[in-house]
Amino acid sequence: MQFSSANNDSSLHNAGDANANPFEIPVDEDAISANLNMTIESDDVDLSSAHSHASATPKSTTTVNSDAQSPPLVETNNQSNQSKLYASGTLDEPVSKTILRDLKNVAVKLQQVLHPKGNRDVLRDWDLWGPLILCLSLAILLGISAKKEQEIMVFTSVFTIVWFGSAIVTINAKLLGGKVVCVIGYCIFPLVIVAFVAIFVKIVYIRLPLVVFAFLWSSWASVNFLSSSHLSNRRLLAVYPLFLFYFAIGWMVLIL
Amino acid sequence: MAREQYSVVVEMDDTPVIREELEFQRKITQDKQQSSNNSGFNDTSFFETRTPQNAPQGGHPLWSIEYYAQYFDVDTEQVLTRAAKSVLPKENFVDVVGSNPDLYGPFWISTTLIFLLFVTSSIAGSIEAIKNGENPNYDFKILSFGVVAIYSYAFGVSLFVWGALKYFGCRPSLLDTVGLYGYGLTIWLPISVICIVPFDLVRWILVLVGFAISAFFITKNLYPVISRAEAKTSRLFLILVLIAHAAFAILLKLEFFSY
Repeated sequence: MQFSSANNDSSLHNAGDANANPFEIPVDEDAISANLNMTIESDDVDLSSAHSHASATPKSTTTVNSDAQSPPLVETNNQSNQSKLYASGTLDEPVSKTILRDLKNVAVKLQQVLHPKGNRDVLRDWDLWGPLILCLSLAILLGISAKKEQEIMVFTSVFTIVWFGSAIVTINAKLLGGKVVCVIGYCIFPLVIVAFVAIFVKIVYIRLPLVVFAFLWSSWASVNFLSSSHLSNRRLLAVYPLFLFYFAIGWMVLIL
Repeated sequence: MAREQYSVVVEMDDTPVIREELEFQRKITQDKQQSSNNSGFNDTSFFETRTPQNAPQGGHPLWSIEYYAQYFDVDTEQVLTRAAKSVLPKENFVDVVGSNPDLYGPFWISTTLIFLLFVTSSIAGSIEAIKNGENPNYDFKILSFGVVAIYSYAFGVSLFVWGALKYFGCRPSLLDTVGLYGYGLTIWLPISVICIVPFDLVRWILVLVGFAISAFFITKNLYPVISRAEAKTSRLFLILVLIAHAAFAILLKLEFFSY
């Protein structure tokens, strides 16, 4: 959807590029303030696609974007609002406000990523704060429940496995020719919840179904983001490392 | 004034050098592009399945991700066939791989093996602990040990073998050697699962079977390469490879399958 319209407009094209390259800063503020006219144009271009999206999943859009006025314009309005927020005087505001807004963004993304019919475009301006928070909390939770002499080791290995694992899985999918948005870090959220529950519940027969459920949810949520168009007969090759990644994390949640 | 003059002098000194470097780099990338194109054209069907963005049109430099896409240019069926042919090594692996060696298989097979060994050895360990009436006790060090052991065998030893074969003048292919060692690990995947069985004799037999199959696979495919060497003493190298492989099998048994 977004890549078909990318050729029409240069500002949209930029957004597409930022999506493809995980190590690039999505959009800088100067560009936004300079391209305000351009964003209005892109709104017009996107209208048809926004219509179709909203009609396909009317339920999810209303539940998540509470400040939306009219369903067809939800996506585009929300996005331009967000970019305006960043563009107008963030320098004067208190730090707490900034942090709260970022946390709110992370929460919205989390909701969208894990929701079965979530809005797949929220990660257009993606961040690494959410994955960092999730990864840190997972490592701390597992570190707490580990044996005393292996606490630090568990913490470091969970931390490295999550970061390196998601990087390698992303690179792997890119090498196979797919387009990946970096959501793998967000998708470990179910496993983090189970890791939290597992601190209090030590019975394997309760843990096992919980972990299996979280594993399936995580992998299913992230597989949804692998665009299938470029991966016709090698889809399994891109999906398999994702399963392995969540399986490894799930296993550590189960046993620790 | 003086400063400006200095800067002029420096510029005059520098420009020709920079130009030479740039031209040199361009030459390298051009050469690479040509060679990769050649290897792709040997088998047109593989070349066509490539997505247009990954095709080396602009001659991607060595440090870009796109450059390595050519080593991941395989589809699901090919990887599964190669893995199966390494477990049942009837034909020569070089013929199976053809002109399209990949790094996907070696990397993900060894990564899978690391996690599978971690999982199965902790299952086996907890079975043992429950039998003895103790609490299951998990050792996290096994994971980091597995990472070091498996990766260094799959990539370190294969690099060493490749270097040695090159020294003997056998004209080995680096990707084929890495693929040989990487796909050779496939047999250990089912074996590590069956090794949960809590009988030590069964485990020894299984490890022996795994050793026999993967050693047969590696020797069968390395022998034609080694026999290209003129000096007969280089054949002794095959024995060295076998000894290293046996050491690897025993290491697996003692570290992961013994409780």
